[in-house]
Amino acid sequence: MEDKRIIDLYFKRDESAIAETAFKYGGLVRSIARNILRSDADAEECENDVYNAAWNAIPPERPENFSAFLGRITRNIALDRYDYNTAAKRNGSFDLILSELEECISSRETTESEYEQKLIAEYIDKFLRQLDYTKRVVFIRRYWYADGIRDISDRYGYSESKVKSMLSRCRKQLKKYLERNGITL
Amino acid sequence: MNNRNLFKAIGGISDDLIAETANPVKKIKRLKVIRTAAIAAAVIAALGVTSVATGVIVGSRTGSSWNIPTYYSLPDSETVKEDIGIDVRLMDSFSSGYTFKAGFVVDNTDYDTAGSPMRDFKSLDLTYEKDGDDISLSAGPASEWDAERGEAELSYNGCDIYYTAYANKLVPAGYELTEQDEADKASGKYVFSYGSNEIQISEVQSVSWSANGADYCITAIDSTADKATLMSIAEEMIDFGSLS
Repeated sequence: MEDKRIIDLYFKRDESAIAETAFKYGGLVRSIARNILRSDADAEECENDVYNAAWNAIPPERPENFSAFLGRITRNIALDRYDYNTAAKRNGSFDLILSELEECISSRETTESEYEQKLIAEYIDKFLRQLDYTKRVVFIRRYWYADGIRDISDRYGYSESKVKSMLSRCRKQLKKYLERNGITL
Repeated sequence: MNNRNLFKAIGGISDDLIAETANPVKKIKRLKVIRTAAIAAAVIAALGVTSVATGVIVGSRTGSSWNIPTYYSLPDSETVKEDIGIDVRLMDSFSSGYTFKAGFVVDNTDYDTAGSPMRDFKSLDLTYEKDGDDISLSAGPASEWDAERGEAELSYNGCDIYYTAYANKLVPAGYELTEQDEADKASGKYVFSYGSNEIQISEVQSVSWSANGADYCITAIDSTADKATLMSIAEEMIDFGSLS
């Protein structure tokens, strides 16, 4: 079913919207949730929470890109669940992604308001647009979808070492770009 | 900021960037016009010459790459060495006006005449563009099939440059040649190659040379570039390679 028609179901408060969402985007939601959380049970709970959140958000929201909208909700819910889990339950693969992002950070002491977080996102957006397509999609697959290195390697046909070195270069470039624009993370 | 909040902030990037990553990616057969291997098989079979390295006659070569480019800007030597294992000297543009557009790493397999795989290797396939006309430059590890190339068009700065031009009839895999096809093949009207979805006839020019352990080949298919232009590109590449 087309995204527009699924969203219309939400606006009509027709509960088949959830089933249609799950049918079309369940794979995406589960994939992102599993990338961040370790257990299938946690990922399943996260998936249900995502559908609830979408039901509560639409209306009034009418997302222009439904898959990105759902992906974003999934990231946030999974991240909150990740924080809640004790160290024993955490996902080592996602820990690695977070440790990679440390390279972009100068100081852990600062805390950002919601406005500042939005500003940082805008600058990251501008940075990504100046990268070539290959580096951009690899960066987004790693740090938005939280894909594993092997998954990215299989998806694009690059060696794992090439993916790692691309990401390492991007992180360094991102840090420099933000610093040049007066943003120290 | 901590790393978790940075991960969260990355979530705020625009939808169109997310949408870009949802494009399907697949491996496609890049339809390499394999005249050299075709001639190699014919000439070698006629003369009984074998490939020096392995003693096995090459029958054919296939190449495949992903349908999104590996490079959108000219890769540097270090990147190329990492990606295909050899040093090649590449130029971003030529005096004729052709400029680098995109590049692919290609996975190749050579097969003997019985169809058994002989060797796997990686090469580059770069596209250069001028006024909407594309030509391609391939660069890969040198092969040792001297018999295939015929006489050099000229010797330039220590390198023999070979030029060929022919009409290529590209047919689907499994296509059976008709009587007319056999006659056209025998007369040299067409060189046949396999791998398309439908039959296509193209005018093909190729310029090839070897330098410093690498084979280079410029291929122009139904291109506005003439022989002189393609030869001049080869000469510029040879000069560039000798300076680096």
